[in-house]
Amino acid sequence: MALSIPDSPDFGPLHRSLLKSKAWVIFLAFLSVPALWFVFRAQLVGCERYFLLATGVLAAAGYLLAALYALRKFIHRTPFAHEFAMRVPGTSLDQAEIELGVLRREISEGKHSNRGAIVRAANAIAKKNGVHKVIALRVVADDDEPGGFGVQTLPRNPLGKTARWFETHFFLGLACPILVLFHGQGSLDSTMAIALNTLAVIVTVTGLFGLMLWLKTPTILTRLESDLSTEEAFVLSRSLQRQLNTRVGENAAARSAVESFVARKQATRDRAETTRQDLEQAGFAAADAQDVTVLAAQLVSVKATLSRLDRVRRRLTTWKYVHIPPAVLLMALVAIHIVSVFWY
Amino acid sequence: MNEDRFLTALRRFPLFATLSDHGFQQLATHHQKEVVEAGASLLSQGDYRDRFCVLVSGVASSFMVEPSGQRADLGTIGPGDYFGELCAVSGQPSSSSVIAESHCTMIVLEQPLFRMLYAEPDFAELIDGSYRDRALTLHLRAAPLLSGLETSDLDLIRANAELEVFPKGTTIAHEGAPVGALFLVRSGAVKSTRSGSGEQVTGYFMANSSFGERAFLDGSHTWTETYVAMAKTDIVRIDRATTDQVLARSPKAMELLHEAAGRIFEQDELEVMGHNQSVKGGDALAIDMHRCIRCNVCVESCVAVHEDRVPRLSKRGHRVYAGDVPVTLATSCYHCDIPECMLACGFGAIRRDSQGMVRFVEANCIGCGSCSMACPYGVIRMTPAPGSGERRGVLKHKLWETLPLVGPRMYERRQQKLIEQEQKSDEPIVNAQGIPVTAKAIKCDRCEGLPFEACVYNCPTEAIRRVDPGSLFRKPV
Ligand code: SF4
Ligand code: SF4
Ligand code: SF4
Repeated sequence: MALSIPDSPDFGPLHRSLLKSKAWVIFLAFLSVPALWFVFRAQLVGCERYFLLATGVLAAAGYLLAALYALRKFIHRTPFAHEFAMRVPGTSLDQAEIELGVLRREISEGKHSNRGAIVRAANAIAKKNGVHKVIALRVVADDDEPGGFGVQTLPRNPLGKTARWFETHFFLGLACPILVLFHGQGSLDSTMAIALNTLAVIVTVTGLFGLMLWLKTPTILTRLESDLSTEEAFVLSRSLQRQLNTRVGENAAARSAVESFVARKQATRDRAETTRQDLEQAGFAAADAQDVTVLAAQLVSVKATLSRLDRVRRRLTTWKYVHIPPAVLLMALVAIHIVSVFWY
Repeated sequence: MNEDRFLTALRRFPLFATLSDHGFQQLATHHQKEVVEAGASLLSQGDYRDRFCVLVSGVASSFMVEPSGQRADLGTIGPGDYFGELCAVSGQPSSSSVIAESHCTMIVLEQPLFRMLYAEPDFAELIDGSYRDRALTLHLRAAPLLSGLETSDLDLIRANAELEVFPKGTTIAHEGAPVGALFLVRSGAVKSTRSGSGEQVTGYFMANSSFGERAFLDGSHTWTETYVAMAKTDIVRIDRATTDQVLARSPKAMELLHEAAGRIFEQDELEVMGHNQSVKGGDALAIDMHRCIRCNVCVESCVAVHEDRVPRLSKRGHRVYAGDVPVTLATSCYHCDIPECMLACGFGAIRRDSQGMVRFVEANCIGCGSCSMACPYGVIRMTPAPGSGERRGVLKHKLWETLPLVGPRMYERRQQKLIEQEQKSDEPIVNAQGIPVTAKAIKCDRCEGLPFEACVYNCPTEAIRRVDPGSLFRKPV
């Protein structure tokens, strides 16, 4: 049994799902603290300490949560994610599904009419087959049959999809610098305050810059890839390289002629002609020299495409070099700030 | 009953009486005996169960739920009777249900054993005979084109209809030839083409659809298109005289025919899936190219959830458009309606599970590569067999081997040692039937046993998701 994940969005740009995201709530909740303070500050005279504490705790928690997104993404690229260890044998899931089928039939035959008993029976089946950590069972009223019930099998999605974490990361990134500013009450009179505020702004601005690249670059890349995608170009270049290696074999002179051609950025007609002549001098028959030259020219052009695509593709990641180091520094400063507050 | 008496009783069943001694020996060795209590469900309508079952004792009953929602009893099953051959032969979901009416003993033949016996002509003849009878009966009850007809009309059709099985690539009707019948597709898929300046695809006909209606509605006498089976296809053929007779006396039949004539699958919708003369599947992994930030998390997650560290996902695939959004249909199993891979595997190493997923039975796979060649979408890849000493780069990493600089070297060294050890061992690697294993076939298993599909679950932008491929193209009909 395979479980598909519900709630996939429509096809379309990323910003649309960011705007529709429920993570807005987090943004609003975080900002409600300074907003409430602003509205009721006259009545809250004397409570400044608590306001400072609330904004500080929220900002620190927000940054921690935002950093967990990066950790989650990293860990799921390795086999060590705890969720990957939840795997149960497919046969257990199948067996559970068969037994749930029997339960569903019994429900439709009117043998069970108590919702609680159905929930218990369904959960017992999941537990008996050892699949309770993987599937969630929901007993719902059957629309077609008044008074009847249906048992739905849903995936557990323990940590939630990375996409949800990304949305949360984005909104936390927007909310936290504002909290940092309020936490320092807008004053920049200490080195720590200047450093924290500056870094918070840098992290958010670079994050927004990255998001803009994420929104724009895939479209540009897709247009550039309309003839040959990066993956295809990569596979093709390897295949051409293999063919060339086979054709050239151990002939050192031919190898050097081909290598110097392939190292070029462009396959010009003159250069191809020179390579063909070099190959003939290296002992290749005219037809073979022609074939190998064509292969090498193809490889030069595929490699040029690949590097052009790669340049654009790199935009999708290089912005992180200006986002992650300030973010790490910011986290370190936040930690130092918290320790120093408690220490002194 | 002791085992000898049990086997003697089996040998007397007409189904097994004609088996060769070798075939019966295989049956005796590899069958599974199952005992069930009254009320147990032995087969459910709509389920994919590719097991073939023979009742040895007890009584079971068979029924189906018709499209109208009515339950139709299909009779009782007693000792010596069998069921499940429709699924076992065609790989299609079951069209009926079977329930034990009393304490029953039955024997179950899993795919490899069934296939082995099915290779014997006498056994195959019996199975094919009952396949035709049952498929015809069940389809006439389930076909949307016939739903709501009077019993007398249905009886007339039943008496004159025939089930024909067309292998992949065979022509069912030629453009310009006389229209001799109305055709109902029971399973498989049919492509219609018109000649002109090159071959032009005019439509696709999937299970439960029909073709030939237009000839009866506008009175034309010749086919205006050529119809070709895109996979092994079961067709119910209702001859012209019977169709004319039913249409003359039943206004309802005329109404249904009009409806069906307009219900052709949209012309271009399946062209991408059908480019290889094959049949679409039910599930595709689609990547929204305007969202995909090329981070490769999907592929790396796929690697991470598989012990052998080989990705099942390749982001290369067909480019289609959902509206104006470019979408790549990644190379990942479609769990086809008609799994060519399963039909091509002679070792029972691919089967459908009860949820319709097409899965490998690793223990049976010998790595012959037939499935890989048969899959029209190039989904199945062959990797060196486990323990064959050739599995470079597929060993699972230890935590410390992921460390920068030193990690890769430690991994390389451990791998080299393992390969040397394996090369020293003379033990041939064999499958469950004792046949030497030369490689291993792999494809997307939808992260079997996990509560999510790792690629979909971990994509930060939700660029990759499961879709019904038809939904990308299909316009309402
Ligand atoms: S994880 Fe998502 S965004 Fe990243 S490469 Fe895969 S499909 Fe594209
Ligand atoms: S492997 Fe290929 S033929 Fe088999 S079910 Fe998957 S897509 Fe279809
Ligand atoms: S569903 Fe699982 S096995 Fe299939 S491609 Fe995605 S990660 Fe790989």
